Amino acid sequence: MRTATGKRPWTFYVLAAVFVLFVLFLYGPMTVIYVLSFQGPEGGLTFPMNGVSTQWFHELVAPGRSGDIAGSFQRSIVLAVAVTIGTVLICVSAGLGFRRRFPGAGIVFYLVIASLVMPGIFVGLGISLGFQLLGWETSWEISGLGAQLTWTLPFGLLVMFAVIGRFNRSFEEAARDLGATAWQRTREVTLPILLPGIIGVGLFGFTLSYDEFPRTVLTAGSENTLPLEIWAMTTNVTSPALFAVGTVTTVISFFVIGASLGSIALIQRHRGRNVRSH
Amino acid sequence: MDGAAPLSKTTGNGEIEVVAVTKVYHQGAAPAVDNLDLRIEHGSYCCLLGPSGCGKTTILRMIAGHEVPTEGDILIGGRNVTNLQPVERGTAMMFQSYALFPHRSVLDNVAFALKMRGASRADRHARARELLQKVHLEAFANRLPAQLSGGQQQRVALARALITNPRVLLLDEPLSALDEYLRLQMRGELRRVQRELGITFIHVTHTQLEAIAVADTVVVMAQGRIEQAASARDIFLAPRNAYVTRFIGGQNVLSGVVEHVAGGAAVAVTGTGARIEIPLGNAHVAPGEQIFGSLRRDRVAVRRRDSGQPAADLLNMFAGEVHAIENQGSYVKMTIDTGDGEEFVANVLDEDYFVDPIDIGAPVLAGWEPREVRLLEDRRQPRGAMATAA
Repeated sequence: MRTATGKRPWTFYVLAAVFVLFVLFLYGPMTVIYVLSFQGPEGGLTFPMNGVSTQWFHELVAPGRSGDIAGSFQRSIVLAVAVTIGTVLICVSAGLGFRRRFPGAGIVFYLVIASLVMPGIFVGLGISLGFQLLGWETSWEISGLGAQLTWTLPFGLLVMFAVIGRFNRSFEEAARDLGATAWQRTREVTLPILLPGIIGVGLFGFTLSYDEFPRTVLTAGSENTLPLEIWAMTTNVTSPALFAVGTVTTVISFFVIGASLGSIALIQRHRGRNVRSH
Repeated sequence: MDGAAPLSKTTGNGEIEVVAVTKVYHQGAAPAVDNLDLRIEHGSYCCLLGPSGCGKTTILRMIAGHEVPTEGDILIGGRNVTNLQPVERGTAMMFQSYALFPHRSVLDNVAFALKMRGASRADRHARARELLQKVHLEAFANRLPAQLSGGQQQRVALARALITNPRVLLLDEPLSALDEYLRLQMRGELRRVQRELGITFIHVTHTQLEAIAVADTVVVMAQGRIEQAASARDIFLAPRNAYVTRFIGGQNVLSGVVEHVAGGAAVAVTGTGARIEIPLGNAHVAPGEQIFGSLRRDRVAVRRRDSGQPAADLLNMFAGEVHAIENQGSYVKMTIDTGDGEEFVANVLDEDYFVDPIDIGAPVLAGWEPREVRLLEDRRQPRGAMATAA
């Protein structure tokens, strides 16, 4: 944006400064961690680099020395996949269901969305107390999964509303007109057309679960998920192996996001550009 | 459609009867369709015409089975289908935006209905290719809808709707998404397909000329009711009331208060003091009543008026000023401001107009032969109830 005289308005500089700060805060420390994770065998937790090695990555896989990184990583992935599946199934069904106004629709919606403003640590505490009261053992597969779903479902539902808001109902009417049953309509028309958005819902579910901390910390039971393990490591591990964990988890996050966005792009390309559904 | 073999004909009777149908979408709101009766003959091309919100699309959707009437019945081929599913009615609908499935190829779009009925892949693709051939799109079978032009998409939608051999094809604003050139081309093609198939077409549009160009029967609607249902020619030449006359265009609406009746014609005084003669036929009107007449725009003669000349005591002639001039090629459309608020238009043949072109703002006299005026059904009583007879 330039004014007629070619000078940028002062707001440009303010906003640019904010953006630079944002980039520095987000990527600066992360970059430091990525670099330090390649610290040489004799190096410490801070600069200067004392040679370059992948030693700290090897240490992650070898059990014992730096906590149970491999095991907690596995648990986190399994949990994130379970949360993703649960989020997609529930949010897609709920999103489709909410298209028809039913008595109490508003109340149901706000009950779901309220989860976004509840302090996560207390949600986790409540769930763990509830399990204790009932005499059940907390575990990441059951109470952890439930606690994470209270976090991912409202997000997934909001994404689903946005996705469905752009869906033209005449696709379904046309399918009905051509003799499709309710199930055929859903399978052959609605779900395939909504697929890119549904992948987005799944992506939300996965990433929110993969690094969820406050709701999981009190509900995961005796075995840690990856974020819990890393948290434990920050207090007792004093080697660059900690940074190696950061690098690996970031790579995995980017891989998941890349795969999701890539598949959405592929679907969109397959359907040709400029698909309008007005 | 000049394909090799004719499209297979349907045997079912596509006569449609809409009986006392009312549709209310929201409790307490004005009905979208209000106690409406309509009969459409088998094998005819019917246009439902009206401004947006007049209920034309609602009727179409109720015939298709995508909306259920609040009251009344819908019969197709003599059978009550009011509560049947769309697929059980023998109808097919073409949607305004075509609603082609964006994730399926053209071929699979056309074959969709057969897939839903469990036809084998080979069978349904063979049949779909046959239909694509009829609409000259066999070369595009493996494309996706987004890769086709608007006109091609429309032909795919047509092929997809026709694959089940419906006895009634319902078209919701089928031409509205096309540009002017394609629109004119496609409306001729729709008419040709309808003739070839011999099935009933019901076509919803808000464009008067489109309806008159393609339809056997035109149904003019307003506010959930039918204003007039007649042949396209009658709708154009003999509109029933002032609403239809104004909506269809092509005719001026004249109105005046009856002064006296003489020789089978009423002499009425207009708002500006001019006198008009309106032949009455078999109708009876009383002095003091306000009556309305229609007058074809191409039957009005316009000549210059000296500004000094008084504009009073005119018979079958209005004095006014030229408000707008539009050259339409073979004629010139002159809009004349007569001072009474009603639009008055004269369509003057181009060769007559350009002999002595009258410019905007020029004072003119517009006159006509009284036999060109047709009495409309509207009446307004001098006092008391202001009910419009229509």
